[in-house]
Amino acid sequence: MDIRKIKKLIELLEESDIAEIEIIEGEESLRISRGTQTIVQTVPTAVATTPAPVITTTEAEVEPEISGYQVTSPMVGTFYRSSSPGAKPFVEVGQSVSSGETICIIEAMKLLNQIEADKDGTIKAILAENGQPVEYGQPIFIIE
Amino acid sequence: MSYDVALYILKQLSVDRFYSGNQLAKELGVTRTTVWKAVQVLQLYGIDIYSLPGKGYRLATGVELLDHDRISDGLKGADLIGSVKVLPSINSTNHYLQRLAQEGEPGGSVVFAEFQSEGRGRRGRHWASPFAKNLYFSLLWRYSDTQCGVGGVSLAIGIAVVNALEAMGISGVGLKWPNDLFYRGRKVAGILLEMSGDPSGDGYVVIGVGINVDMKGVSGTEQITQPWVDLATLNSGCALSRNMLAISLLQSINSMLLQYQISGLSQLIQRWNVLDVMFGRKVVLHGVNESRCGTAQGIDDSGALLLRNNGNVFRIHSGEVSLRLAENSGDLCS
Repeated sequence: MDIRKIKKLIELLEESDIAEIEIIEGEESLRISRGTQTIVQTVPTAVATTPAPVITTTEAEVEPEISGYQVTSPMVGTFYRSSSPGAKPFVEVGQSVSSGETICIIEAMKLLNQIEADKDGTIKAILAENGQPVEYGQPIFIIE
Repeated sequence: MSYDVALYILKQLSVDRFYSGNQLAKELGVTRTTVWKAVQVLQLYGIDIYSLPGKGYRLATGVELLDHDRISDGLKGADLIGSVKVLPSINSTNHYLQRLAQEGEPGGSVVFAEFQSEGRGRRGRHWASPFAKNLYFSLLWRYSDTQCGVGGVSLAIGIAVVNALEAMGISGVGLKWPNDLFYRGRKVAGILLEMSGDPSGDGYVVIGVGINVDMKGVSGTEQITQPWVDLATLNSGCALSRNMLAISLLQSINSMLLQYQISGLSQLIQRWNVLDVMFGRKVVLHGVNESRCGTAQGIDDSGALLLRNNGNVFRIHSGEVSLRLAENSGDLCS
């Protein structure tokens, strides 16, 4: 399913009071629920329909209520805080960042997306663990 | 020591005859000591140069340097390819082109390097990049409003590289998800993509490709941490023209990007599944913190790997895939 369509659906959901939406389109189905912020996209198989994104974290579900500007993940992938293992993290909590500065990398299919701060400020919280999968739209940083 | 002196000398030298140090010094307008130092630099880069007192210098094996004009000529008609740069030495072509991209470099720009001091793969892994032996290049692809998302382009480029090799007469090379090129379990080429921007809107991708063309005589190969092979070996020991290969690769990538911009991976899944060296095999997916086992079932139209485990099919977006070894799979598999 087109990622942009999913994005649209999430926006639609956010604007409404609906808690969960499930859409079946041909062989694909998509369920977005508001409570956990997880997107479950299932693959049709002869045997079962199981949550598709593997190694899904529960981070999103226990997400603390933090005020401030949220940087969200623009894609499904793995979250990295540094350019390579052993390298210094791009940012730490308490560090000030300026707009355009790389704050993490999200990787999917060996495409490394350098995520930049889109606002000047101070990193108040880092909401994802290094090496953990993140979902589309999942908050990953709080900048204040 | 300027690269110009060393490069000039390298261009003059041949395998057929000796070229005197005096002659080189005269042509370059430098001292013989400068020539001697430049030859030492070339030797440090792994170029095998014989020197004989009173006769001069001679190459042990032929060196085909990348030729900017020849590559540019060969790319006429490739709509998405813009300016071509050939650098003697750089830290990493991806790094260099990313920096240019940030400064507004137009899409389609290509950078080749004869040598990379910090050639790298996924997660900062070293990529062996000896001078004038292989191909290392990066291409800047600017996209806007992609209908199909940008992630799948990673796999599409892998297919494009296989297609180019086949056009050069190299068959039997397959793909390991997401885009490593393998020949019978040995790595031939690697691809690394680094992007900036909105994955489903506007942005750019720096597409980096490294191909083992001819590693004969290269020192330090024992430090390469995985099984590898070069194209010369796959071509009955005969080295391919690096310039021809460069043209073939960029033409193929050009066609692939044109197709990808229109239809994403949808028309490419079948081709990918044919090339997939893991298809139907038991594999282990290594995540950073955990591993998962299953049977590889090809890809979906976003490029995600389909992994079947106990009747469930999981979509995998990142991680490292390897063939499962029966004897040590027990602990790894959840």
